[in-house]
Formats: sequence, C-alpha cells, structure tokens
Amino acid sequence: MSVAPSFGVVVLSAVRHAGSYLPVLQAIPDVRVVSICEEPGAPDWAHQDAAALGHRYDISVSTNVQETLDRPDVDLVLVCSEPVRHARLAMQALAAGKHVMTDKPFATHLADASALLAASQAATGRLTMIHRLFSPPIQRARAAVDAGHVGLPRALDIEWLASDGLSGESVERADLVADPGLSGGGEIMNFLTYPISTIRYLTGAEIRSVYTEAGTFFFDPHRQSGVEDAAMLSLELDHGILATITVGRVPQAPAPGAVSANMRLIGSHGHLTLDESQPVLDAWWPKERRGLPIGGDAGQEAVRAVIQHAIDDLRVERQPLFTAADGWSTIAAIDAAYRSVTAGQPVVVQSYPEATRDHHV
Amino acid sequence: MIRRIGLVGAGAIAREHAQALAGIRGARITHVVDRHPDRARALAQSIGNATWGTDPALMFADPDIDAVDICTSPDSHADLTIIAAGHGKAIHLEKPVALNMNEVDRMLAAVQSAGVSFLVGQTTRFQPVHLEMAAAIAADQIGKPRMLHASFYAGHLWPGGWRAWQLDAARCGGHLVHNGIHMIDLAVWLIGGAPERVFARGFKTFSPDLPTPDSFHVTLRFADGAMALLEWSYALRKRGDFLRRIVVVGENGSLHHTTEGEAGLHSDAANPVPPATLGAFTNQMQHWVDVLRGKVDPLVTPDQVRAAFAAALAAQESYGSGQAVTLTAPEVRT
Repeated sequence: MSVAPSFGVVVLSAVRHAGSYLPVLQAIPDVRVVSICEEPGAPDWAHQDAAALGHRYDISVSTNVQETLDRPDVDLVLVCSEPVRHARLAMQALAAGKHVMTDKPFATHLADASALLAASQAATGRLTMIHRLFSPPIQRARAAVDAGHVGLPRALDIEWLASDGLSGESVERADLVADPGLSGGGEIMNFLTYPISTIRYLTGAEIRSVYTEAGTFFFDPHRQSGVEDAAMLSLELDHGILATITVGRVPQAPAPGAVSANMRLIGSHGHLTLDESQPVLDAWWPKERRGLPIGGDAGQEAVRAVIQHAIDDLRVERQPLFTAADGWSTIAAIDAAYRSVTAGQPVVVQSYPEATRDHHV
Repeated sequence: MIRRIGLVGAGAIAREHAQALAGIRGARITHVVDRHPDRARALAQSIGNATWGTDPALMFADPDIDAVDICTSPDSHADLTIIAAGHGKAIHLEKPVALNMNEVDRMLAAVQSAGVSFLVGQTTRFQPVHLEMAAAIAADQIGKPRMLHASFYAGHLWPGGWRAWQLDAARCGGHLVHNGIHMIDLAVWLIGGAPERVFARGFKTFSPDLPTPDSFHVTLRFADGAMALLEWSYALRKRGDFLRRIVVVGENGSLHHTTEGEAGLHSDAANPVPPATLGAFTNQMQHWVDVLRGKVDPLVTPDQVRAAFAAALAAQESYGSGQAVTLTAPEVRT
C-alpha cells in the first residue's frame, strides 16, 4: 500500500490573515505546514506575529527565507505579508520553483502585478491567490448563469461593506489596511478584489472603463493616512455590460456578520440576487435574537474552499481557478479606480496585452 | 374650509391623485381639464360633482378654485405653473419640475413673487419606507449620512408602446431626468445637500432602437463629500416584477430595506407593490392638503427642487457624453 506524500506548505510572513488560514491548512489531510517564515528585515511586530502563530499552531519559525524556500519538502508558499510585499515575496518563491498562493491584493501597483504575471509565466510553479469565488452563493450564481437561467447578464450591482473590525476583530492592525506604506492604499486596495473578481467570474467579460467616487468618512487611521475608507464605482465591461460597486469599511455594515456582501444580477431572461448573509435560521430567545447561517458561514466556507481547491489542483499539477492573469486584471481595475479618483472622470482600464508588453521583468 | 382643487391632466398620474384625494378630508377636486375631452369628462364623472373642460386657462381664472394639481407631461409644466401662480393658485406639480433650469428658475420666481405655495410631487419621498428613513435620520439614529446606495428595479412599465411620451426626450427631458429625479431627489433629501458631481451610464434592455436607456445608474458626489449610487432599471423580465433595496450608511450606523421577502400579496391576479412602498400617493396628497391648510410647509423645498433637478440634467448629460459633470453649487433660494 502506497502512502501519498504529504504536501508541504510554508507561510511566508504571517501578518495578514495567517491566523485564519493556518487552521484551514492544518485540517486538510496530508498537508503539513513546515514553517512560518519572516524576513529578517521585517519589523519587530511582524516577527512577533510569526512567533505567536508558530507557538499557537506548533509550527517552527524561521527567518532564513531562501533556505526555507529551497527546502525539498515545501510544495506551496502561502504569502501572508502586508500587501506591499506580496508581489516581491511571491516572485521570490516562484524563483525557488515553488507553487505560490498569495493573499489579496495580488500586488499594490500595476507594474508589480505585471512583473509578477511575467514571473509566473516563466516559472515552473503555479501562482494563485486567495479569493472568495468559492463562497456558496457565488457558486450558485455562476451555476445559474452557466445553465442559461438568466440569459445574458446585462447589469450587476455588488455591495461589499465591512463593519469596522479595526480593533483586532477582523484586521490584525489598522495600519495594515490604512497605512499606504503597508497596505498600498485604502479600502479600494484592500477590498475591491472581491467584487471585481466576482464580476469577472460571473460574466466572463473584462472591465473596460471605471468611474470612482471615494471618500474618507469614518475612521481615524484612514484620515491620518489620507486614504479612502469607502468608494462607489461604475464599470463598463465588454458587450456593454454595466456594473456598480459599493465597497468599503463602515461603522456598521447592513448585515448581521462582519461583512455585507450582496449582489443583484440582471440578465436578459431573469435576475438573481446573492447575499452571503443568507440563508439564515432565526433563533429567538426572550432577550436575544440570533441568526444562524444555514450551511455555515459563507465567508469561512469561501476561505476553506479556496485553500482546499488550490491544494487539490496543485497536487495534480493543475492550475487553480484563479490565475495570475486574473490577479493582474484585478489590479488593473484597482489601478483604474484610483486613476479615476484623481481624474474625477471615467478612465480606461489598461488591457492585458499592453501589460505583457510593459512588464518590468 | 374645504379647499377646491382643479386637476390639470387626466392621465394615469392624475387618476392616482384623484383616487388618493377622494379619501382625504379638507379638499376635493371640483374641476378637471385635459386636452382630450373624453378623458377629462370620464375622470370628472368618476370623481362626482366635478366639472370638466379642455382649457386650463379658464380653470386658472376661476375664483372658485383654490389650488391646482398639474399632472401633465413635463413639457407643459413651466407655462402652466407660471400662469397658475399668476392667478394666485396654490400649486402641486407632478415631477419632473420642468425640462431645463431656465424654466425652473422662472417657475420658482413666479411662485415666490405670487406668494403661493408650491409642492413638487416627489412621490418616492412619500413611500412609507423612505418617510421612515428620513425620520430615523432626522432623529440622529445613524449620525450624519455619508453614503446612499439604492437599487430600484422593475419590469417594463411604460404604457403606449412606441408612442410612449417617455421615449420622446423633447417631451420628458430624457429618462435620467424624468425617472432619475425620483432617486436623485431622494438622495438630496436623505443626505441633506446638493450634488456637485454627477456620472451616469445606461443601457437599452429590450430593443437597441429605444431612443433612451430604460435602465441606468447615477453616482452623485455631494458638496460635503457624501456620495450616492443610484440604480434604476426596467430590465426585470416580467411586467409587474419589482425589486428594491436601499442602504444609507451614517457615521454611527446604517439603515437598510429590501423588498425581497417582504410579506404581502403574491398572486397572478394582482401584484401590488410591497407594503413598505405602498400608499405613497395618499401620503403625498395628505401632505399637500396639510400644506393648503397652512399646517406644514412643503416637504420639497425650492433649493432641493433646484439641486435635484440640476443633478438630473447633469446625469442625462453625462449619459450622453460619457464624462462626469461638475455642477457649481446651486444657488439657495429661500
């Protein structure tokens, strides 16, 4: 009887979301997190985060990045740094011949995204990214589109609003989303990946034009850095498809959980609505009411599924759902969103072929 | 004292107003005019004890009429309002207020000069859910509103096929004006300010030959930085389909309502709008009668009329040009 070899994972920097990804990884049979690794030049708090998670999950911690990446028992490198390091660390891991899964955003500049895309095309390992497309409501929506139930999608409206969470509930440190030196931007940079990837996934169409209104309304860390905490966008896609996005961090999103994530899709022959807070079982007590998510929490399931699917794919040398080109396209849309804020006008999204010509590698 | 109302126009909206006024004490319709005599007579007869005619000028000159409710298509609003004001009539005017800003300013000047009350019928404000939202905001339940996101979807609604006046921009001002004003006025009211930048896109759902987009969205940037994203669509597949959702995010909390799952009647025989949206015309007419009786000031103020209409015109312009339109701060009229 043969025993499948274990699949080795390194968490490269552990400052962002690693605390929620590690238990998912450890629950997958035959997956072994061999190390949490942080760059020697990273700030003290980053090393403290790595040490704390290593202690909590009984994983060894290293500061020798190259030696860790070169380990033969490492198959996948999961990049959980602050966003500005994503592209560089992902390229370093690809150069070591490993598969790479990076936290979102894919990169924090389009030039970095182009360099990372080019690096992945030249690499033996495969590159993918954390996303929420395996959220059960998004999967149901895609199945409905694929079955032709709504005809041709004509318009989508997505709302993605997170409730505060800056005191450690959902963000480890406020600076990780509000200090451009770490985050690369404000909440457009932090969150826009989700609605953009959902729109592309459900329509199969590329985003061509972006108009953005953005504001800094609610939170001191954002005010101090001069970055947006919320934005509203108008998009035009191929085939004249229109989309609108409401995105940001607000004092209280209109949903029971941490995030109000919902969508309306109008097709030529039907429409569908999507709400990650639904379906819910209402539970009532004399002084309390609670909603129990039916089928589990959609956000948690999305995280579990994206990691599980990626590892299943990589183990058989198959490209995971979310490709480097997809990652590049999300950054092209984010880049356009910020350019539109500056211009006060709609802007054309840079297209993929130009990026491959202009890449910096 | 019973206020005597002259109804100008006998189309669909006029019939809705007449039906609503029939159940309200303190006012009654005593005269109906419409350029189609059959329509004027039929509506007058359905009201009972109302006379009818085809010439609004005769109605405006009638000293036995206290107030007029103008329910004609937008291209006639300015002239009718200015003449009615000149005769000292209190005025209720169906939205949109007019076709261009020059007309609006002439109308506002006329009603101000005549000293008559002037209520533009922004019906969407009077839908119960929006009255409740406004009350919650006024009571500081969510702090200062900073974002408004509204999605109003329906199946195709326009009567008249290809003859619909809604397809003729010269008569209606364009779809982003005559229906866009519903949502834009709502945002102006709930956020409490004037838009200074407007962007819009739209699409034609059922025929590429539609002269106007039946579906569109508009972004508004307000002078104080607040923003709104407003979607209006007639692209739901079935006539009578109805889906609405609205969110207002304030500095301390959020308000949310959706018609999805709202308890109410679901039947092939009748498909009324859900309860949170129902009854707007009655609320609107009751408010107007309260204005006529001197109990309250018009809910829709002149500066709001101007700010919302300027933004609606800008939305129509933006749809045509593909560019965001910046507005200079509207002059505030008191």
